[in-house]
Amino acid sequence: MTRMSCRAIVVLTLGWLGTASAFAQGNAQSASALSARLSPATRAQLERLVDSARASGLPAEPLVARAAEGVLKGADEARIVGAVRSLARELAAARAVLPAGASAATLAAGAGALRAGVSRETLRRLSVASIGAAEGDLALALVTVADMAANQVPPTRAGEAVEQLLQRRAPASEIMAFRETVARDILAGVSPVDALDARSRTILGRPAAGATIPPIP
Amino acid sequence: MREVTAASFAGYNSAVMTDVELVRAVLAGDSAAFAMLLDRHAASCLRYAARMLGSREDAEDVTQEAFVRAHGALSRFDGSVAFRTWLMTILINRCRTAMDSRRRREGRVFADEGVVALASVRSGFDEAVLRDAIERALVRLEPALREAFLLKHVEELSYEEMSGITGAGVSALKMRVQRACDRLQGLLEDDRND
Amino acid sequence: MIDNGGGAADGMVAARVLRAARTLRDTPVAPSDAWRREVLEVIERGTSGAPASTSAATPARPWWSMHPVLAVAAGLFCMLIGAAAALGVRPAADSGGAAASAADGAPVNVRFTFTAPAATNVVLVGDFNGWSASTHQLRRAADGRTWEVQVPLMPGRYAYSFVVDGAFVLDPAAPRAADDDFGSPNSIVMVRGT
Repeated sequence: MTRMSCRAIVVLTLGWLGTASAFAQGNAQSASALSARLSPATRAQLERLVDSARASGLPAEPLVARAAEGVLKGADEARIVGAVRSLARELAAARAVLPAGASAATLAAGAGALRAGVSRETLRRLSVASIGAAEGDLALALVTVADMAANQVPPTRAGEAVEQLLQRRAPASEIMAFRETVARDILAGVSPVDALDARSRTILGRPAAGATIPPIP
Repeated sequence: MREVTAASFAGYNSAVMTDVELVRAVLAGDSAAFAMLLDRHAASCLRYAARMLGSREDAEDVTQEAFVRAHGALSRFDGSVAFRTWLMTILINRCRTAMDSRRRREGRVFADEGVVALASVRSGFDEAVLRDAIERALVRLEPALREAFLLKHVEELSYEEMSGITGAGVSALKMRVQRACDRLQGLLEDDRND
Repeated sequence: MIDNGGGAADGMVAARVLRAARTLRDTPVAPSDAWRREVLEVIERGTSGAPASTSAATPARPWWSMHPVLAVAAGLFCMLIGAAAALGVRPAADSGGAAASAADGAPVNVRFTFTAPAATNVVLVGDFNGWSASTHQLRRAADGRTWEVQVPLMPGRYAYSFVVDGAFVLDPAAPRAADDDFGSPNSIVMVRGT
């Protein structure tokens, strides 16, 4: 066996492994859904968009998924194409500012943050704060800031708070708990800015007035 | 009342459940839920214990004991106070017990003055100097004052919460905090002048 | 900042002491992985004897198990490498890394739940199933109020939504995506590799 064909075996096997992934399974379904429901013209446009994104090194799955989402939600075809185009732009913009070699998940999280109104500067600062942090921490930070921005917390302020958590190497659970409590407070009627401020310092619970402490075990 | 749902993140060690929901889940047989409570509260417990006892190793032992006891007593947690408060009560008692046995064993309550840095963090130089100074000063405070100071100014509990946790009255606690601050101020001044 | 002088009766605390307390508050004492494991092991030993639960409340599969399809694939892959080695050919340089990523890339079982006692049909749609409304039907849990489904997911970030009796509904407790290209925003789930 030549070295060349040995490498071919590796590639083929990896390819097969790849299709075992849930996301790729989703893609296979997306592809058939798209073929069935979209006009040939739209299909061609989408293929061009996805191919050119792939050619510039951007992940294709989020784009295909966005189109499939549009189909399910009954959007008209022009809107679907527009949405995929916007996402491709946002992925590229995220890649320009996030660390080289960022995973597809991190790029997608970055694109989501940009869409939510988070500035590139904030993305850059979060990237810097995540240097040396665990895999996935930056993506989590981006998802967190995007969520807060979607809840009307001023994006820069949200970014600063999450940046501090990253710098302190807060565990993922703490970042997630921080997001949850801010979101819950906003839902309870606290203004987004106040909710962020109150939770930035601590995530303590408070007892009800007049509560007694049970016997110490 | 808002409907609460949960998407369990099997890969992450936390979920979008409140403490009360997690306690219920543990009591219903979900062993992963206790790990989530641990991850949510361990860091702040360690922080208090480390400052109180002056040693990371002791803090880890005592905090472990506190969580083990909390796990055993979960069925008695009725949600009338915050889980964190309930857990802190257990932890503070573990700390007091540890200090008592240290005093019996070694005849002292103060930890070694050669306290090693309890955490490395990227902070400003001034901050690091000040943190070192207060760490050294804390070990020279008597335990009751140290406890009150940490609960008030580091863990940021209210006097009512502190009263519930420590069993002391609010005015007694206020006095302890004040005396602690006075002592610390003096110690920090001395430190600066050295 | 001007120091207050020692122990003002009106309870004002020297700014330096407060600043010092803040440095303590801001300095984490992070739990180590080893310590965390030990706490959970001690608790497990204390409660051991209980059989693995098959109730819906527990995580379905230990994090270290592999998805059956990938296990087969990984096995075949290893066989190929072995065969290549037996033929006296050194596998390509990147195959070692590739074999590692096969194991690292095991999917994680994620449980999605939704509380809707009055609903008749709840479906999960998202990036991971091509936004198909016929792949992941939620089943009603024993309590009659919650609906749930398990989905094996590779590490990554996925947008998703519930469709409750035909209407798109966010997961109320999950992070939101601001993407609202199509009139209904989505929830986000992040899956971390083991």
